Amino acid sequence: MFGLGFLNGLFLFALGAIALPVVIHILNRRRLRKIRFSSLEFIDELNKRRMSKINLRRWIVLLLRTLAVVFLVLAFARPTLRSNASLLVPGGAPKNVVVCLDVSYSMGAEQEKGTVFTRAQNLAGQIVDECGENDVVNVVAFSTHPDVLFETGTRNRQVVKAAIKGLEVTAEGTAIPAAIGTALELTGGAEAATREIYVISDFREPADSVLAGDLPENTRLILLPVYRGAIDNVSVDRVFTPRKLVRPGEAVRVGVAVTNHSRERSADFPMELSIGGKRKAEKLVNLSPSSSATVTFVITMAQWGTYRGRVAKDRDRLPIDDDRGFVLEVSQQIPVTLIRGKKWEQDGKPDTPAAYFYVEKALNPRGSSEGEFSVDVVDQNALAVANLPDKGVAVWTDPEGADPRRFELVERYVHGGGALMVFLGDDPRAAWREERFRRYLGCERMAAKEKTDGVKFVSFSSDHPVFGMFNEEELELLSQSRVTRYVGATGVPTDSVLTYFDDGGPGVWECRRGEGRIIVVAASPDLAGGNLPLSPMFLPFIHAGVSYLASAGGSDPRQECLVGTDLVFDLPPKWSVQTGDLRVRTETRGDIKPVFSETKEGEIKAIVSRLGDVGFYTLLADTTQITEACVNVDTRESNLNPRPLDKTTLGDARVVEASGNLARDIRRERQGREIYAVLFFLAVAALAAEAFLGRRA
Amino acid sequence: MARRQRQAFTRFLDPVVASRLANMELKARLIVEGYIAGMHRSPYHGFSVEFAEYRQYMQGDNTRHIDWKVYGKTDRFYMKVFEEETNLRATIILDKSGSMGFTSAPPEATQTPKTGVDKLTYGGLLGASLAYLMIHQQDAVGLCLFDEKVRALTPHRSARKHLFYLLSTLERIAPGEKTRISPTLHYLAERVKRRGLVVLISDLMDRPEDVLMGLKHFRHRGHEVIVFHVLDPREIDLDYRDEVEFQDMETEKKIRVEPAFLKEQYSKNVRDWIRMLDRGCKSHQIDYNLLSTHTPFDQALTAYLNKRVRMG
Repeated sequence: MFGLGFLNGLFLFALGAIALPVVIHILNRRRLRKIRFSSLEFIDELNKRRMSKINLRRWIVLLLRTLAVVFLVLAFARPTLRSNASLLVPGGAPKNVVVCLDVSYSMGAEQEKGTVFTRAQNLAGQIVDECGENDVVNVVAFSTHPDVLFETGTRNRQVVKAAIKGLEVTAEGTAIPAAIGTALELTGGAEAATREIYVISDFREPADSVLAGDLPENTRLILLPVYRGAIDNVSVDRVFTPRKLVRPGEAVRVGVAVTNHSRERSADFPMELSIGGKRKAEKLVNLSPSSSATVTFVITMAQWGTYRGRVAKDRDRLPIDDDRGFVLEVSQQIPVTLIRGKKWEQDGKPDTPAAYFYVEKALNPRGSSEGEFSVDVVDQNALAVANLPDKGVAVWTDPEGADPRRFELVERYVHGGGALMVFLGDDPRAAWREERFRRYLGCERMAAKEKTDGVKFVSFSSDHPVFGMFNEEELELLSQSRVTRYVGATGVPTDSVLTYFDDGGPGVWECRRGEGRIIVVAASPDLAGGNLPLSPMFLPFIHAGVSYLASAGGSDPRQECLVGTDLVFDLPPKWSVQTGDLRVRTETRGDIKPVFSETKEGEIKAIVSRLGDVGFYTLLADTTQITEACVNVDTRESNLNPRPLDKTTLGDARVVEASGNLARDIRRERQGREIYAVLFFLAVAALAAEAFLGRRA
Repeated sequence: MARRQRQAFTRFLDPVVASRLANMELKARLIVEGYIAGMHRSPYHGFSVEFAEYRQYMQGDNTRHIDWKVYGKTDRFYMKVFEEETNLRATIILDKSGSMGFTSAPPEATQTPKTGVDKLTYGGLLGASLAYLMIHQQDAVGLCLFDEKVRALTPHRSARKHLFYLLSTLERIAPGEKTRISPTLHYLAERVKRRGLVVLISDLMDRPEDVLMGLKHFRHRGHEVIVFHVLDPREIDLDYRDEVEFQDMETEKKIRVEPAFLKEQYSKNVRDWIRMLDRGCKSHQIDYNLLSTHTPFDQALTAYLNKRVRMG
């Protein structure tokens, strides 16, 4: 909708001068010269043909003269054209002004004269200078969240300018609609007749959300983009650390995603990975324009511990996204939860030890707490989420008869990246006889089998890491053990079978479920079912299987924690009861008391809301470090190429491309664009046309 | 001295100057004498056979007329000058229709030698001058005045008394009614039996085919014809500014006109009309002379005398 306003409206009375050309026209007609002519024979003939054209031209000339007068009068009245006619309010009335200043990380981009944010601050200062003495001014510094600087606004412009000068760029992203919403709330209760909201931003908000819909009456929303031209930028977008458990001496692959946002220039730069401040690896990266790549570093950590890592590239115009931190945990032990199954419950005190006993002995033969595995034994019917290790393996012996809810618990654990090793028992009433569980364990049918002379393991898959680490003699040794009671499974995909029984049935197989893996052994390692626990290869087999699952589990990288989101720490069970002593130590803001939350599964989580700064956050219990996380910038706004504002998302907002004279631009936006020059031109054009036609008429 | 005297006479060739003189005889005499004075000498003596006088030979005179007897007696060259004696019958036909009253000149008080006079005044002065010249050359002159019909017709006479009659007739003329040239010409062609010279002075505001038919009738009867087509300059170029209301001087019809728009095409049409008349006259051995009311009379008199010489 367009509206026409006049700065010198009184001049419109001069429109009465339209009568002037009409009067002149009439007088000219009356002052007709009369001439007696010898003969009209020649004239009469020509005149008949020409007179109609002449009359038409005469009317056009009159029209042009009238239009020239109209255009001149309108030009002197200084008309203005604006998009919202409802904003025709007196210019001198007090206003309520809210300046929304973008403090998102992309505003820290460096230009020829300081950063983009410096320019935004200057613009904000100019806007405040343009306010009248009676105008009430407020400032909203916004990134993903808007912060109101003054509770009720102020008329003291110096205070406002000082507050603007004191603002700094944050590491957060942008949420303009939220800032506008806050500004509208601030102006909503204002007494002033006119409300003006200025949004100074680089408008890097990734989503095409509607910036402003229909504005309230007498409210003007002016957007001031502060970018000038493209700024080449290469951002480090993400660091991929393995989700699996990392052991000392193990090669770790760390992936780094980088993007060249420039549309024209190739990026050629060195990138280095450092651990604990020491450089571990370096690579040269070349990226063509508008492309992304993942750079992979392979490092080895000799000692166990929690390491702070950092990936950095050379500095460019936007430094904040040039490096990225990560946390690498190198475990001393593999946590194993040994779930002891039905046989233990039923038999109470069996004649021979149950399968879990041999597995536990295999994992921790000496019963010390400093072995390769830290074993936690739990009954299958007492199993809870907290019992399942985050980076470790669950070993379940004799799962038959388990409560289906426990199965579902384990299912979710595996699906989320956990690892499971199952030793199937031989109870014909076993819960795994249900089709759902059979399918989950990777076979179509299962049947309890018994052979007096036993079956042995044959056809080992030496390509698989579990059996690949053994030589032929060791495998031969393993195959000499006899299994008398076992589970005959059918329908297992052959490519997932790691070894067979010599009766042709699958003995050990692997299946993937969700993000996790399962190794199924079709026999229970107890002496009632054979002599497998007595085999010298039983311990190496258990070690190999659990180590493999611990290393291979969780193929997807860990979710990074980004600025502006909540940081959630999963508390290990032993700390869950001491939440009062827990705190989070930050690099910039000291210690923060986290908020604790318990899930319905009984897990305790420590939460730090709305992270504002990048860096490492350490969860401490007194001086003991429990865990650590790194918070990085969300690089979705790192593309610094010019992006015109999409008109469909603007609503009633007006865009002012701030030129050298912001005051003039703002006035123009307030009062509309003056179009007197166009009218002067039209008046001159009308006069020129009149002169041309009038001369011939 | 002689030069100054000659200039004093020649200024009467200007129509405006001549028209301001008191009476028609004076006007005619001064025009003719001014014309002759402007030619340094009169080449038109000597057509007659009756001796008039001697005069001293001047350089450029034809040696044929030197009197050798006198030379033998006086040792000087004398020319024999003869009185003219012809029996030419000239008929001056003057158009006095309403359109002949047109002039683009300002009122008389503000006239200059270049502004011209109305067409009828110009035609009257021209007719008077011709009559004066003809009668002084002993030719018999008749006069016919007409508009839509013949309004006055005088018989052919060569006596000087007749000249006064003609001049007084011309002095009294006023613009009449509509123009109908063709019937007049046919009527006169039938009336003037004896062959002679016909001088038509008119603006020819009639259908050109009819005008040419009338003139052709004279030629058919064996007359020599001279046409003096008198027009005001603005009748040719329609040089008016602004919108005007024209009123026809013969029909009183009124029309509003933007002359600037018509000027170009009008002028072209008028020139085509003139060209058509000229071509039509030439095709019948009729002398056609277009005269503007600004044109000095010597041009017309020369045309007449040339014609007279050719007729012998």
